[in-house]
Amino acid sequence: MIPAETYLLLSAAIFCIGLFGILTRRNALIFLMSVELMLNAANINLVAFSLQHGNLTGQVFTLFTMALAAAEVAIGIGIVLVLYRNFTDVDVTKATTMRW
Amino acid sequence: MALAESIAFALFAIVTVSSAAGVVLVRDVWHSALLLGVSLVSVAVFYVMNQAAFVATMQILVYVGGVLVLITFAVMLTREDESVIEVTP
Repeated sequence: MIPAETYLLLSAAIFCIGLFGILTRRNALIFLMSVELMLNAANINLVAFSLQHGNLTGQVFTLFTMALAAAEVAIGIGIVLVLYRNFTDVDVTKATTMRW
Repeated sequence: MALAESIAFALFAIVTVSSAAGVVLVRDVWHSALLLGVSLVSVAVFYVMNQAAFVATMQILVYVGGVLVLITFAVMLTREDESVIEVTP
């Protein structure tokens, strides 16, 4: 059985890649994909610790996270399409109309 | 058996991390979405390794079947036309 620390390292790597994408890119669609990567990193940890502890709690948490990710993308696509309609671009730095 | 599992883990870890890095590094959003699909499918392999076959099935069904299709729709709807089709009378 692969030890849990290995899964922690893999998960940390994927999470850092997603965080890097959010912090550096300006495309709103890349934002959505980076959030998916970060949620997947959390899911890997949950499933790995579910096997380590011998119960199914982590897997149930993973299913809830998947439902959350699907809902988040459905809402995010609507926001991205409105952004494209109003600014003819998906660059998130151009939408400054709500800036105080 | 343990050696085979370690080798499989290393291979799929390389695939997952490199395709996840490709998601945030490539310029084209369409290629980024395709690499995200590769990454999500290889994450499902880790779920199978952890004896979570149902979660792996849900991963492929929900992410690749739902989320990736939605992202693909958004990529197609928000793409700038780099090649304008010339209509000559």
